[in-house]
Amino acid sequence: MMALKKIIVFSLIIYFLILFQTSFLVHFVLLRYLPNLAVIFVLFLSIREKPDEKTALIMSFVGGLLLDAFSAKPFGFYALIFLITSLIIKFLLRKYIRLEISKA
Amino acid sequence: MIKSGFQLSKRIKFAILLAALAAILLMIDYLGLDSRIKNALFSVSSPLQNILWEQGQKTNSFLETIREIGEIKKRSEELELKNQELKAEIARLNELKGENETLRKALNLGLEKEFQLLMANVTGKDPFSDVLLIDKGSDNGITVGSPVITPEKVLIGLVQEVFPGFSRVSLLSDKKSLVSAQVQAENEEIVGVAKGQGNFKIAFDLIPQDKKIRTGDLLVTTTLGNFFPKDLLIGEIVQVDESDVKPFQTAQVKTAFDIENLKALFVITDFKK
Repeated sequence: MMALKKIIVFSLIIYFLILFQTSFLVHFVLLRYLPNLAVIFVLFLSIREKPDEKTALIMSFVGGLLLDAFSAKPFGFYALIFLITSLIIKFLLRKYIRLEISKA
Repeated sequence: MIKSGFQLSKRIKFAILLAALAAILLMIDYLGLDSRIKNALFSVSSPLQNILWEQGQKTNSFLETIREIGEIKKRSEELELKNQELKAEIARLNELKGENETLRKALNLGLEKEFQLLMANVTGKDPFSDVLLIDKGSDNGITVGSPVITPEKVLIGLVQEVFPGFSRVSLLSDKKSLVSAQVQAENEEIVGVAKGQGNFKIAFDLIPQDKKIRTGDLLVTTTLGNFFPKDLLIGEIVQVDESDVKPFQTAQVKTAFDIENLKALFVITDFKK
C-alpha cells in the first residue's frame, strides 16, 4: 500500500516536471539546455533507493511512458530505455558500490 | 542450489515481464493506440500547460526587459564612445583639410621652389609682447633667426628662441624687431628699416629725405645682411611723417598679416642667398 502511494506521488512529480519543462522553462533561452528533469529525477531515485527495492524500476518505466506521451518518438521508446538504464544502475550499485544511506 | 534456482527463475520471470512490456508497447504502436493515449494525456494536461505557458511567457518577457535595459545602457555607452571618437576624427580631418589648403596655397605661389620650408601651426601668443608660439622646434630642424612667413609669402617675423618641440617667433611688430626693408617701386630703390613698435605696429624709418614715398606703397624685404629672402611682403604704408627738421623720413606701416587669421605658417629653413 505504501509502495503504491509512493508510485502515485512520484508519477505526479514526474508528470509535473515534464509539464514544467515543456511549457514553462522552454521560454528561457538559457534553460533550454537543461537536462531533462524527469530523467534526473528517475536517476536520482535509482541511485538513492535500497538495492532490494523495486520502486525506482517502476518509476523509470512510468516516467518513460509519460515522456513518451509528450515526445514525438514511438510510444514506449523512453519507457524501455529508462527501465533498462535503471536496471543497469541497480546492478552496478549492487555489484560494485556500497552506499550507506542515512535514515535521518 | 535451491537459492540459485530461485534466483534463476526470478530472472527468467523478470526477463519475461520485460519482454511482455515491450510486446505490449509494440502492440500499442502497431494498433495506433498511442495517439489515443497521447490525446487523452494532452486533454488532461492542457489547462495546466496553458497556465504554465502563459506564466513562462510573462516571466521571460519580464526578464528579457531587464536584460534589454542593461544591453541598451551598454549599447548607449558604446555609441557615446564611438561618437566621441568620430568627433575627434572629424576635428583631426578638419585640421588636415586646413593644412592641405595652406599647402595648396603655398604650392600655387611656388614657395617650395624658392625656399626650403617647414610647416608649423600657431599654438599661442605671448600676452605681453608680439611673440608667437609655434608647434615645431629644434627637433624639426628650426634654428634661431629662421624667417617665418604665411602661405601668401608675407613675412611674419623671425624665430627668436628654439625649444625641442616648439619655438618662439618674434613678430615684425615686436619692439626688438629691426628689418631692412624697401619700398616696392618701379624706377627707384627706397631702402630703409622696418622697426617694430609693439602692439602690431611697424614704422618704416631711415628713409632719405630726397626719396618720395606715398601711402599705399608696399614694403618688402631686402637681401641686406642675408637675413631674409628678397621681396617678402612686410606691409603697406598707411601714413608718411614728413619733417624738414629730421634727417630722415618716417612712415607708419600696416602689417600684411592679421593675427586673428594666423594658423598655419611656414618656417624658411634655407633659402638662396
